[in-house]
Amino acid sequence: MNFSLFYLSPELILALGGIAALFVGLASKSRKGFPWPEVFCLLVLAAALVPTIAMLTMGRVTSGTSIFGGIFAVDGLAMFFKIVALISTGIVTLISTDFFRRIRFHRGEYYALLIFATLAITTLAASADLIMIYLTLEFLSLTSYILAGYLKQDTKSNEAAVKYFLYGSIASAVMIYGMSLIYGLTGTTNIVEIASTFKVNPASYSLLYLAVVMLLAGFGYKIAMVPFHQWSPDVYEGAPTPVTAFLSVGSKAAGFAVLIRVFATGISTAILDWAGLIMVLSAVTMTVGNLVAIPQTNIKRMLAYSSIGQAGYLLLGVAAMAYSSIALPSVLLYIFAYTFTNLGAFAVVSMISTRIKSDYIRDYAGLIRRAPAAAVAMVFFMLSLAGIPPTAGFLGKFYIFAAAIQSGNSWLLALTIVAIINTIISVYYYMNVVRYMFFVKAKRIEPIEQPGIMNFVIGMTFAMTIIILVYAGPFISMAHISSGMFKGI
Amino acid sequence: MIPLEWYLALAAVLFCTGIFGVLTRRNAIGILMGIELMLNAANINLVAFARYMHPTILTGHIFAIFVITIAAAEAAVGLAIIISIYRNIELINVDKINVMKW
Repeated sequence: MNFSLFYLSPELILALGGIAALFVGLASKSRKGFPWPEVFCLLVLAAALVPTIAMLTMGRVTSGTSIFGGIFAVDGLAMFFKIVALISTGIVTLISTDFFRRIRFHRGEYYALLIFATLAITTLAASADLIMIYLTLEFLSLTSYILAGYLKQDTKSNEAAVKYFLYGSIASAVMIYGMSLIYGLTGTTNIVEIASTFKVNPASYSLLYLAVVMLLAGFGYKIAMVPFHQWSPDVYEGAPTPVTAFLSVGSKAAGFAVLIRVFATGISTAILDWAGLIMVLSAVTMTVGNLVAIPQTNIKRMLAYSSIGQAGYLLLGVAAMAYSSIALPSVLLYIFAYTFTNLGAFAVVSMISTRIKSDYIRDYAGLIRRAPAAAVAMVFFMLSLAGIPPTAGFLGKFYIFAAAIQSGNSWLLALTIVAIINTIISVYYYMNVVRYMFFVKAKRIEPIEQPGIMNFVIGMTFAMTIIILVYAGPFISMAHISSGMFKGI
Repeated sequence: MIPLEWYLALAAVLFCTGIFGVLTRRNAIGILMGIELMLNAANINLVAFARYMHPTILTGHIFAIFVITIAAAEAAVGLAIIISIYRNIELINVDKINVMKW
């Protein structure tokens, strides 16, 4: 019993910390003094990170371990996504301290919601039961809706929240209908039991396919997969920039965690050949994301379509999971690289946009003179998102393509070619930002103030973006250890 | 006894009514009502399956209770968001909430 409480310790710390954060916020009303809510939020996240890393490295976690009668998995996949969620929320907290400095808002509640959203991601990554998946997915959605609409006076933030809410609830209503069908077919909600039931008596193909497509509506909405992506550009543009950073990394990673778990453990390829479906969705997602990103003039919208494109590459890795054993570690590695890169890019956008009061790419003109360090870091983030060395994005993309090619499946090979063409397209709009920053003459040339905390965030994400490629060994082995401790197909 | 298919058909009709409402309503609260219909269709499915296929296991009932609870939480958050936008632009017509597009 003590043991299972240790397994649950990150969640317990986050839950208690989130409640305590509300009181910390109450106690520190003054915006002048020491930033207690921010510091407290970071402390809670760090406290939850310690047992998570301990569990992953101490060998306490094995594949197939679960507590509470199999609804809460304690395996490598869950631990990996918990680490990603905790680190990314930590960085988002740092970005928030700068972004909200001049805006009147309820600080305590904001950081409490951020902690609760992280709690939702960590539990979602561990959920191995349809009821638990539905609950945690909705938990994450509800906190995200509020965060997206956090600037109550701002019409854009309002609009982002309304759109996010309406799309999100429709997607989750479709998903719950699909779940009810799967429950009807198997009589159980546990993912492992679903798999074993389907192996004994296979369900009718068309009904199962319908149920899976309905499930994909819910998961695909979280990862911004075409055709469930329409919310993302509007929400990314309208939401406060730190929240956008959170949605583009933490929330997306959570979607992939649940997608991988359900499709690798529950509805495996032996039951229903979903690889073809995922391949088609992957091709459409990356193509739509990358093509529509080209004409964007708002940098947050551009990054939204770019992150749709990134979801497409990741789906390629998910499809390869059916054929290749290195696909899952490559997906994890890609997510890890993407986390730091995308958060770095949003940190730069947040810092610059709050100071030049514009999100338009044309207003980034001449940034190399106004904020040289941020501009240089941004170049590397853009290179990493495009997958060009010497950056982490290259390693992630290389591994995913390698997994797809190694599988030897001709459809996956064709999809890899589509992905490479898409990568080339994406270079255009990523480098467009660089062109504005370096070669377009600025209307104003006074330097932009760079506060120490943002220098720290940008420097840290920049360092990680380089280190993950240059010193790749530990990160590759972490991805392999995590996926090794996950019982998949 | 009423056969299981009837319940499933009722749930399917209810789900389609909900989808229809979601797609045709232009009022945010109307869309919210459509979503509630879809959730209740899933609830009917869950309870009917639990009653007819696995009468001794309560998983389906428990699932339905959780769905109802979540629906309440969702309505609370959703209405709060709708109120906050109404305070700013005095409209809840989703066609008019279009500062951002493309």
